[in-house]
Amino acid sequence: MVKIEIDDVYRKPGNLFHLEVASKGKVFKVPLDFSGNYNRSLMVYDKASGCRLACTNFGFNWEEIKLDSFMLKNFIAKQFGLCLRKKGYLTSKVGRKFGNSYVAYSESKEIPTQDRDIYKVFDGFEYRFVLISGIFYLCINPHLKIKILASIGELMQKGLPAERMESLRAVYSGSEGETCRCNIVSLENNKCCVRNLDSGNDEYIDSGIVYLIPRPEMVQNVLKVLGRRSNIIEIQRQYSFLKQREAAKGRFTKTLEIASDVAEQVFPLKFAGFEIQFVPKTISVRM
Amino acid sequence: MVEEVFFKGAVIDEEPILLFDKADSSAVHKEPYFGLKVFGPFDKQCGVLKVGIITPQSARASVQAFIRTLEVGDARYFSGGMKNFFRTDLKISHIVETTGISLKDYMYAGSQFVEKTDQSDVDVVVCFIPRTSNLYTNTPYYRLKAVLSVHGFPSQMLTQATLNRPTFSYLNVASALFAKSGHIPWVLGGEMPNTNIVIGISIADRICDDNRLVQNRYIGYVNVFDQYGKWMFFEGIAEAYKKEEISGKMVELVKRAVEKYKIEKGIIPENIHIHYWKRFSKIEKENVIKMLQGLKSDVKVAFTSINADHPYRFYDLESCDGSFMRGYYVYLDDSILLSTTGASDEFRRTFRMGTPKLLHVKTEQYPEEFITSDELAYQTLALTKLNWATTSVLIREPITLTFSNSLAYLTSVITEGEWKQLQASGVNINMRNRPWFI
Repeated sequence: MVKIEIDDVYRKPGNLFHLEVASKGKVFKVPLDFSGNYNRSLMVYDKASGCRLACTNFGFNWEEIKLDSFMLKNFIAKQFGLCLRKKGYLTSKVGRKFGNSYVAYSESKEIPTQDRDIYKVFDGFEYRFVLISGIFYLCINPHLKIKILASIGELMQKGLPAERMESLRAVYSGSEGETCRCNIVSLENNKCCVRNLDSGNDEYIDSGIVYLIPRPEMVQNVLKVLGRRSNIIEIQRQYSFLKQREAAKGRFTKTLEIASDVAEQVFPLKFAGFEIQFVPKTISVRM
Repeated sequence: MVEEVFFKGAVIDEEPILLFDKADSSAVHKEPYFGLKVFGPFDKQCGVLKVGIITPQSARASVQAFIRTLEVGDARYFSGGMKNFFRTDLKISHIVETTGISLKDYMYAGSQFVEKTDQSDVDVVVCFIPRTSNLYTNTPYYRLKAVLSVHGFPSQMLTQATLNRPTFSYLNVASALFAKSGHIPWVLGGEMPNTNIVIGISIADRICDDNRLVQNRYIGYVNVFDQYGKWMFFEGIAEAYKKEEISGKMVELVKRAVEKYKIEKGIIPENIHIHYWKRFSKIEKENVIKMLQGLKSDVKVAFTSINADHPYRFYDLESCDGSFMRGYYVYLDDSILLSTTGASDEFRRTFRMGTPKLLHVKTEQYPEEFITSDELAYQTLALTKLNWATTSVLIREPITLTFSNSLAYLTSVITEGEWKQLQASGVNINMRNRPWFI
């Protein structure tokens, strides 16, 4: 267990943890026409230049480019995600209004509920890599992950009336495996008429591949109609520290526990000549 | 040797004060509750507030009793009622009973109400509705609000939950009724620094073509506030538009807002702040600046994005519950993180749930910086205190965003046709100067 030191002088810590770059490797530009089946975990897409970058040249004579902080942040984020997955975590992207984050959760941290045929809840955390004044930080925040297991078709089989699902927000996998956002328009037998929110078109698809979005209020509504006992809202309140009188202190303590776990399991993060170290000390605000 | 890393922070020294009398600049207080109780509202010319009621027969007596208590007050938290807090009398002018509690019943009652009632006879309609999940949009709450709004009637919804535990709701409902009737409960006690106008903009709210949730068509609107944070008017674009037109519509909305401001105040504002919950695109900023410079060559514009949708948290281990205290903020590279709902020495009795989310405030200014980060923090905190739908002090978002959020909920269920009607001149005259959506 890595012990994280709390700044005792300035007692205003945040959930951003300092990452120190101990050593840097080289970065190469992947040619646009390169289609070799090489280790993609060492490649990232660089939005600024519109091309792929790799932290190794795989023995090719690729152009080496000057590494900037944003490129390095992308490599760190990718390697961190891969490392978490190796340690048994699952990750998913969270679309935030100000930049994207990721949620990591582990099967070992599933919160037991009575209705695991409908949903699962995991005691996970949200993370994001941040670059402020040229310094890298890892932002960690406790996060409850909800996964819906029962499709619309299965929910109907369990007794959920079709009209209770009309106009609700859902997702389904498109023809190329992409996640499509939609509203449920109507349900008939095994077919579900959904309105794709991006195209605005109505589509008829198999109700077995349409899932409600994992909003706690929506899940609770489904559970209530099906006469189930578990209360996802209560779970959410408990794990979001809403029931604690000193919620902020509870969240901070939990953040330190998660950071300590991550520091032990993932850091130092080493890849292709790079080494990133986690500084086990909270970063305080100085007024 | 690891370098010492820290964040720089600061604190807003003085809690923004509120003014409760148009004619007396000493009628100030930091909290709406005490300000209203001692001084009454900013606008004291209301006289009689005429209320219409739509309710099922079964709840008629309870609703009338609630209105009666609003008028005369209750002993605990609302002594003296609206007469004391808002210097106004309440009069029930028209009641329509629904035959049941289904959506159809409410729609019928709503249409009966608008058919038989003249706009001048009713300031606000109080509607008793069953409590429904906000996951569903085809409910009495949304549909009745839409029907009444498009005919020029602001509405205030009541549910059984409010009637069961009304003690702490009286003042909030009273404040909302007062504001929706076109009067001003309170404003800021002083001008916000380097601010003439604040425009809360929303340009990409989805709208439906029928009663279902929706679609790839959008609408836009602005709420405009003056230098005292006083809500001035609401302005929307009548026609829905496609996604690719969104950027262009921002220019149109800002232009209309500034031109209306000029009509009301007689001058073109010099220091213009545009608040948005998203990031502004480069093209949006360039086009808005170009348009504004055409109206006034020395105009200054601040494009400010405000959002709490991020994972950053700060704590204060010295505060009572560990939360980062209200009015404290942290400087990041080009933005600040401001706490508006954290622990507070002044509002110690106020109970908070959960960990406060900080507001991420980021601004870009043209042609040069005219408001500092510290002034921007003050402006944002001050604007959190102007939500007339609640007298609570610890509100996270500034009204520029709160009002947009309230409207966004409604626009997802108002049909394109209804929205168009709402923007039509006949209805708009009655509604544009009233915050009917709060």
